[in-house]
Amino acid sequence: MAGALTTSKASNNSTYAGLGNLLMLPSWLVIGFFLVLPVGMMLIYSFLTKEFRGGIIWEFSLAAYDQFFFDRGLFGDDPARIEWTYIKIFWRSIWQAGVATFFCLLIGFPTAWFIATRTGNSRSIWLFLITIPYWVNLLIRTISMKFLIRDTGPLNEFLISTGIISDPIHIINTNFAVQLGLFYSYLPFMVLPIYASVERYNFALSEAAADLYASRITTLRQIILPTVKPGIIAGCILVFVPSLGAFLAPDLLGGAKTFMIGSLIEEQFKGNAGNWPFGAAVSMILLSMVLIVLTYYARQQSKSGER
Amino acid sequence: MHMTDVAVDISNVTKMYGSFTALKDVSLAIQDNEFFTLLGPSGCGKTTLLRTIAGFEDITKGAIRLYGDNIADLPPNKRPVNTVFQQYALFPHMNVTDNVKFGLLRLGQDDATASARVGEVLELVQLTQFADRLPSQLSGGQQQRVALARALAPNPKVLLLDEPLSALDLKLRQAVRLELQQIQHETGITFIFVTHDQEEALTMSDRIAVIADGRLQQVGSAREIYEAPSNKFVADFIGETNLIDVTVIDVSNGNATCTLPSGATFTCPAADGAQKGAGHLSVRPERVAMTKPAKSLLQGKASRQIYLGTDMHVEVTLDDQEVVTVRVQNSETTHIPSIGETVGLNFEAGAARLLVD
Repeated sequence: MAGALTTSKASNNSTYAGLGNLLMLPSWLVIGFFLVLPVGMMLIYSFLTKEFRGGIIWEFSLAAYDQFFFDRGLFGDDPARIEWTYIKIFWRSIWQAGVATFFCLLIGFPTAWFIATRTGNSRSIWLFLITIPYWVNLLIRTISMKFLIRDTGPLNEFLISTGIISDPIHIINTNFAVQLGLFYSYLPFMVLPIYASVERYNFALSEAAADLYASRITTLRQIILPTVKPGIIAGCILVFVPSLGAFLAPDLLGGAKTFMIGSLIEEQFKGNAGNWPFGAAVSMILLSMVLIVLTYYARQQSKSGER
Repeated sequence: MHMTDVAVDISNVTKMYGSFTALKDVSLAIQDNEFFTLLGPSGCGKTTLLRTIAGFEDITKGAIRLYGDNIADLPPNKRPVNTVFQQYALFPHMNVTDNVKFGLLRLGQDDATASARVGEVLELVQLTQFADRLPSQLSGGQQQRVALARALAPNPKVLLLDEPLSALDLKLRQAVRLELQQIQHETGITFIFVTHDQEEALTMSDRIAVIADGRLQQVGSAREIYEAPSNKFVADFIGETNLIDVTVIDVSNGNATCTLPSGATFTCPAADGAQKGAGHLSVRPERVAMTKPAKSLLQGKASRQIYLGTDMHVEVTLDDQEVVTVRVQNSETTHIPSIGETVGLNFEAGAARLLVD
């Protein structure tokens, strides 16, 4: 077996000998142009000096990072104190994204399970239904969400007309509205990877667990969840990371009190009031945080793979 | 416990899937400490029957008793039986020890007791040195033994085995057969073994139940089933046989007298329910002897030779175009007729059996 594998590998090598680098070229071009170049630009901009009407001056400066972490008073000559404003925005963003991820998982897992346990045809129909809303632009979906949940919107009117409540529930411009918006925006990113791993789940394992005296809840905790964990982790990352940097939901549904990193960055590049180096610095800090989380998970994954 | 104790008593079990009948009024008493095999072609209902004992399938009608207690309504995790699954169903994220320990912990054993038991069963299946491996790091044969150890660890009253050897290659399968038999003797646990492989069934089992189309065809020892099949299906499914068209002229005392295609009259044992009229005589190829045409029951021309290694099959086409297969040893001293040669065929009364359809 091993011998056969080696031979086929060897023949592959001889067929494509010398072409390896050339074949990699398209990928390198795409990665270079769409990833390395823009991120590199942001990295450089974050260390430059700001031009007051937006834009940059090519002069090295740490001012952007300094502004993020330290408060030096109105004229910049007070002793440095820790600046909490932006750290608070970061913390709020993590919290909002975390709550949205939690709700996505809570709803997404049973949904994915349900779809994966249907038979062939109805499975495709359910998957199709899940993706339909995403054919509509995110901006339009977020605005329609705003319309749905406002004080005089259909949700409140329905609840009042059925007599469940007498006064409208105030949802719009709250943290909850933002979480709801994020949840709605990113739910399929939770459902689809979990669906993919549940679909591969061997239901004989559940039978084996039951055969070995496990209750249903024990089977779920000790057999099903560990087996479909890669899908759950992938789903959580796919929801958490874009939620962290989202700006449409907090802008449209949250108002000023629910300001998130995405909005902070957006503001720095909008119109003439912006501060490009500061926006770039905030982006770099956000990027490093995401990379730390992803690296941690990648480490965990490869560890459990080696075991 | 005595050999006469009934371990699993299946009475009048019927299983329907919608309008499809998977099991039809099956009644079986499996004895304590028995190696019992459910044998049949794929789709015959043997696995369904096993799954109803394990609790993975509800039964539509009937009762399943385990040492006298009706377990038909218990969920699988409340039944003191364990299963070796066809594809093993080992927990992929747990190492061998944790897989085997799983059932013990669910039964409420403390870790020390459970670990000691895991050590015992791993020794029994000779996997002690693989205790820390993940299932994916084991060969098929080793995985099979982990599945066996995991099912044996809780010391079940009855062990259910769902075609556990079908994923192994031939050599390994033959070795594991002996091992399984030995483990059954050592542990004294009742084994219920499902297979579609008749050779497996014949070599391993104390008793065999032959199932076809959701119905029980025959229950008996390997010898009974092979030598005294109760109907045409069993005779044909177990081993190879010649089914010769005959006319039955008399049935008395379990014997039938019939007219062979050659016109000769022949008396032999008959299966229950044999009646006068058209019937089938079953004669195994190895029980047919070739002789000179003058002194024989049947006559025909050798039409084909099939080389089997140690043996040869000679197909003899009778005058009425029926083909009878004769198995002869492949040796220098055996006369193997050439194609077209006229030969006579003989068999003893004890080698033949009149079957019902």
